[in-house]
Amino acid sequence: MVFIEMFNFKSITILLFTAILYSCTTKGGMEDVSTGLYEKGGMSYLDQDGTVPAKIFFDYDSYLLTSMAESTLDLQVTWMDENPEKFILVEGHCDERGTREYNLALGERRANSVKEYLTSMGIDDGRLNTVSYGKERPDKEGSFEDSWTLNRRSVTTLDVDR
Amino acid sequence: MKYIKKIFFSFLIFFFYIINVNAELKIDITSGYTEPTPIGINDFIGFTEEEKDVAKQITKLVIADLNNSGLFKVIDPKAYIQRISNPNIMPKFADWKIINAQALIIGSTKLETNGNIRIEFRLWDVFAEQQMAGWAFNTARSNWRQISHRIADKVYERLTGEIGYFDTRIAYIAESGPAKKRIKRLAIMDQDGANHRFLTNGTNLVLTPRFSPSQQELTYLSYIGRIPRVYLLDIETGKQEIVGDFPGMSFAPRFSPFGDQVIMSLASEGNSDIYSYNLKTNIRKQLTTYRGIDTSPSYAPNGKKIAFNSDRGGTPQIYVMNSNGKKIKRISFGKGNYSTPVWSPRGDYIAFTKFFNKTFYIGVMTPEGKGERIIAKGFLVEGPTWTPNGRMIGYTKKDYPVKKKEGKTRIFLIDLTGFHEKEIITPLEASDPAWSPLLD
Repeated sequence: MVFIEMFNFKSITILLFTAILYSCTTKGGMEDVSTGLYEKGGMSYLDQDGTVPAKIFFDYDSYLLTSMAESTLDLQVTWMDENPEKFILVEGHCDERGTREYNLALGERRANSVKEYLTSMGIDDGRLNTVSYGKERPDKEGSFEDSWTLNRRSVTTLDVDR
Repeated sequence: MKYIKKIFFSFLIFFFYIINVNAELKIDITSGYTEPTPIGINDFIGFTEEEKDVAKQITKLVIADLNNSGLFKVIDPKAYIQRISNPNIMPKFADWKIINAQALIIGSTKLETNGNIRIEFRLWDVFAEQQMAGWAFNTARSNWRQISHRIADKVYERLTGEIGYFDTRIAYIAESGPAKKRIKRLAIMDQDGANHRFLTNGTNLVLTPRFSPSQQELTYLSYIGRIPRVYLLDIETGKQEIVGDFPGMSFAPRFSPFGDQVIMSLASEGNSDIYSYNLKTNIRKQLTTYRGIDTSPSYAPNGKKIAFNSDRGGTPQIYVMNSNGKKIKRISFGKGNYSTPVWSPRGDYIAFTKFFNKTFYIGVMTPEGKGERIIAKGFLVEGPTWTPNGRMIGYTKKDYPVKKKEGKTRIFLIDLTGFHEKEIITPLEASDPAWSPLLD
């Protein structure tokens, strides 16, 4: 009897501890960049099951959607249709190989490309906000091409301010 | 002989500005590399213990300023042969020629009964054996730093013919933490690093501060409430206010030369345009209409033109237009991408950032786009700011990565010739430097 009670207490403690750790590590920067996403296998998803990727990627100095990006966005559209009460924030980001202000503008263009695609697929644009972080919030540290590729992105997240 | 000496001595007592066109010592700072000019600075003289203390502090600061400009090399006092303890005598020029001091500064400090200090100093041309200039300052003792900078300014001006820049401040962004969760704070300090303080606490991302012409305010970008917008900050009170009531993102702000307008970019729906905003009337004026990226606007010092960064030609380049938005002309034509144009306070150059072949550069060109010259380069250099004499440029520099670790980000200063690069020391990492204008 006593042994079982101890075991339960221990597992609850472990679960709690893990939950706290998990929430600490998935929090973003000072403004809670990329919030409300589920992390699985090193990727971020809008859904708990990990079937709707939140991020799409861009070529250098480009804000055009690749066909792979559009496929990902199609999955996002379906998810948004299935969750009509959710408000969405689309972030635009750049790699560090550009100047600060130009990258703020480019990030805004990237976020807008995504927003335009989503609305063209029927999502009500009143649900969508955009924000650019320029090169200020990289996803992968390191001054190398493999990091830069991952930082030229747009992230679709839940809008915690609405 | 005695009679002549008497006249000469009484002549010395008065602070006269003597001009000898032929043999005068002059340092040219505009044409290529100049070896630092060796000069002597005799410890400022004080008579009481207190005066000696202040004199020591002033001497130290003047030496630091002149050495840091890269144009002067203050000879180590250990090498001085003559030690001057009377500020009114003529120096023994032979003793200074022997150690190759081209110029000599002799000064004194006196504490007045009302708590003020009085500083007098003379600048001697050693090889011409005559006094070049003499000055006197009288101020509250607590102003000793500012006075020291002004002394350095006077010496610099007299010897180079250019306005000094030592009595100025730098606003910048202090950076700390890992790249993914970078903490950025607005900070300000004297140009020599003294009187450093943080103006924001790092809760909200802040970027690109710029001074108002009166030096009382900064304009910058902040992500308060997760919305990137242009703000004004009163430096003394710390009070912040939003500039304008714009939908979408506002960024890249700068003051107009007379301080009445803030020029900036507004971005929405994938398009950014340049707007001017009148701080008194709250009237905004759209200056560009091209559907793309128009950003980083910078006024000419006479307020008549604006340089800016646009991708309307396909890649980021520099354009100049009239301040009413008309007569837009591209001025950058070299290989690579050009951005962050900043008009010199002298009006003669526009500084810029260039990116070509995986390398960043800081350069200058004339407002007509001629005479492009690179003055700095690196893994990541960007965001030039001019010292108010239009002769030196501060900028952000991030080092090459070393062993998979990202390089540090710091601010540097270099002169227009591309020489005398030096780091500006800050307590944390640093970026986005903005040099204050001169206080009138």
